[in-house]
Amino acid sequence: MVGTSIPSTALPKAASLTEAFLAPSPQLVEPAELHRLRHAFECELQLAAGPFDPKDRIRVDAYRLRNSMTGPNETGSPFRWTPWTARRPIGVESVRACLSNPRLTPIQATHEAIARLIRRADDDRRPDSLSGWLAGLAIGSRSVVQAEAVVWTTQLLTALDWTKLGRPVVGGDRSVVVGSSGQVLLRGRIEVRVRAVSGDRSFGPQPVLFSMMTGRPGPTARAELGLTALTVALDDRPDEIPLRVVGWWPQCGRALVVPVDVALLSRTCEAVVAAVRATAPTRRGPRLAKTATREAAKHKTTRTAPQTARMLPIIPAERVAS
Amino acid sequence: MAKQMVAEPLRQPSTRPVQANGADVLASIRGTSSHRPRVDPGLSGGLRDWLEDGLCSLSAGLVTPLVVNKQTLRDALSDRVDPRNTQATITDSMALGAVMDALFRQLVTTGHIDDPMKDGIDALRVDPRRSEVVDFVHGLAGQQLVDFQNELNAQATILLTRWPRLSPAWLPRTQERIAVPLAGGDVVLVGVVDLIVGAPSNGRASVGLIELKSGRARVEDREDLRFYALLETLRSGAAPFRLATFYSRTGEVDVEDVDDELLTASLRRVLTAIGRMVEEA
Repeated sequence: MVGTSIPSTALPKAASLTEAFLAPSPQLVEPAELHRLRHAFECELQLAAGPFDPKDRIRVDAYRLRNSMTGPNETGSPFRWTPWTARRPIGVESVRACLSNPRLTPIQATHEAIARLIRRADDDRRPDSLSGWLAGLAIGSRSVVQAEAVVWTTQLLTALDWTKLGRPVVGGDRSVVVGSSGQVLLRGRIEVRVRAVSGDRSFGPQPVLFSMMTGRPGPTARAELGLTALTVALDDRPDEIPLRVVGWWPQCGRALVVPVDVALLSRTCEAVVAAVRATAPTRRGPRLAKTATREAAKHKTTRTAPQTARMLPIIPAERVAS
Repeated sequence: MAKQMVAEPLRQPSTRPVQANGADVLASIRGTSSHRPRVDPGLSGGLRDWLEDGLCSLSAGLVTPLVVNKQTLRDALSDRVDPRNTQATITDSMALGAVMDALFRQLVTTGHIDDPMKDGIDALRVDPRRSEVVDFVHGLAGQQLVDFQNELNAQATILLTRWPRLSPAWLPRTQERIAVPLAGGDVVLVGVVDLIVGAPSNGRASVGLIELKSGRARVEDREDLRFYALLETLRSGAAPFRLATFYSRTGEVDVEDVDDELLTASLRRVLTAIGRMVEEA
């Protein structure tokens, strides 16, 4: 089911999304393949980061990846808290609270989460902290923050059938420093992580990842989801090569189920390297005729998405989601 | 209801908006839960196919993506303005609507409004897209400011006394955005619903859509909600069971049940409007 959507006619939608999220699947990336890919990726990143001051840290997240791929390259305005940037951290805390106490509703959970954060403001005096920002808001402004967090929380709580998920980890974003220089930091955004049965007997249950996205799937959606998978795969924790990553766009009711294979990781590595080159301060890094990550991909034993996955109902995916 | 004001032939509302107390409003939004229709699993896909087919013949000359919302639909159907050059100037009624929307959101989410003017403006101030409204209100002076405050206080009082306290278990969420891409993303139908209640469908219609209006009741109000019903059906795969408009000027509430006929009428209206946009392009 590469690059397809969940059928819009399947109800309840949370059930079909959960089924696609947890479906057994063989492991598509061998540890040895990942090792080769990591080595090649680190070499390329080192080249790409060459023009930067060694003290600089280059952060590549989905936002930077998207900007780099859609161009023109934007350096982006500095981060600041708004109801839209605040809704996720508040929402993650609220979803956790609702899962641990099923009687709690999103309105109650967000209210308590915001109250907790404001109480924390006295201890957290960083000028850029969420707690401090919330504490400084008037009642009317704060109500907008809570209202946005309620929407976010409700969307995630109703996206999945949580009774089917064993020990879900909510909001386990990953940050990975790549390469010996430690200059490049990859940031993968994960709303939910659980372990699903791997169809391969040589592997135990492997992580599957769920990301809730804004708007509608665009041309960079696969790379953004690939970045999430890559950060987990490159993390040094053992047995952490994800089986798949599912993107969910609640505003349009679309999902994208992406099996994690070497090709996906390889393309994502290339996109990350390109993003780093695009933000280089003085000159672009050397252009490689044939990228090392592609070379690494060639060495892999070709394994593609399982045939069984294609048996799931598929509707024509919109062009941008394919 | 007001007279028909748009070019498309419209279904006449079956009932006039009625002034109601909180309990009545609650009952009219909820309806009878056992009467809610089962979801036709093929309806959403059929509507989407219909739209896609209709857009095939229309989208050739479009500057893409064409973003279609309730206002561009109204404008295209009434030939009032060229939808490509819409530059709305803020008026008293628009500013009042924006502040009332913010107060409605606050009331649903937090259960209280302390100072209508301050709370409303503070809510708008945190949204950079609403800076023009904030500037407009701050620019009011003399009798114009007094009239604005009087109307705002009057409507806030009606909202506080007539709007019911919703159970949080209904999962009320305010100003939820819906975006339905069609024609490979070349056309995007978008809407922001003031209030959605109900959990996603489990096979029976379970979601209600509610809009707050600070102005007089107009036929277009129902068309806005029918458009949102179409978007929700396309997004979720299940049609909402009921649409309601709450008029904060009078405390009236207007409700309408959703059926296939309503959705297909809205779909035809969307295709007609996009056809006119293409003609003008």
